[in-house]
Amino acid sequence: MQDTEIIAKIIKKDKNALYHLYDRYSGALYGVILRICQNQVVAEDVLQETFVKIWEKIEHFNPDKGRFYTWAYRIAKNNALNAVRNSDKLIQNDDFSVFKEKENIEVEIDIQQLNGAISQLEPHHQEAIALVYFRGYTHREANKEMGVPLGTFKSYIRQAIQLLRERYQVEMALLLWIMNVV
Amino acid sequence: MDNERGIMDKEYITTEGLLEKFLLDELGEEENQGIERAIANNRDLKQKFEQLEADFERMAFENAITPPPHIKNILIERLDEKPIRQIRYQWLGAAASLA
Repeated sequence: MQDTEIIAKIIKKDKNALYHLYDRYSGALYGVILRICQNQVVAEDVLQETFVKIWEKIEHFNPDKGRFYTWAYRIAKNNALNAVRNSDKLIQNDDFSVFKEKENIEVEIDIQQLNGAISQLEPHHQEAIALVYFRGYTHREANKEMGVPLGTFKSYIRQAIQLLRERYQVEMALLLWIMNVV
Repeated sequence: MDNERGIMDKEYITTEGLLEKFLLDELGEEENQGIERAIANNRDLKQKFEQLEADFERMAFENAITPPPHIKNILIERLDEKPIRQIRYQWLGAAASLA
């Protein structure tokens, strides 16, 4: 079933359609959320909140303005950043009780490890994309984190995107060739 | 930078990396609207944005992490609870108005 059909059903308040969308996208979104939160329990709450928000706000999604995943990614990222800020506030207010409890559950997966095409890029390209896409940094925060001028950082991002594009094109060409041969 | 028709210049958008920032939700409301207008009015920009979305989505799937199964169960329970709560609140509201 296409996303558009599923979304039309969610607008009509079909919960099973939302669970279908969850099965399709929760892994990709959880990969982002967990890398931003760096804490499994917080990330699990954020994932759940993200899908509740998707359920409540689906009427605001406009397919003419972009893909469903892009819309959901923005919700997930903002929820995750808010959760991290709230955890920081708990620490500042010395209210460790909740946070400590959550800290005790270690993230078993190596969330810093990146896979696929991004892992084949040069380290500075990988880091630039990872900071803005998987860690929720703004461009300004990320260029400071990397210790390079903003202009240089923007070039890293542009180059990394171009290199990703080329790798995906090669993979696609290879896939088409295999399909023709088989 | 908007031109006289309120449409951002394609070169400015590309060199400043505004499509990336738009996708990542880093821009303010006004800039977001400017980018949306620019994408709607320029086929090349629209194509670039669609490509960027597709590539980033693919990258996200390559780095997906399966969430623990209980999260979906909690989500199901939460969504099943909601109408009950709403009915309860509506009933309480009606009762209060009669009192």
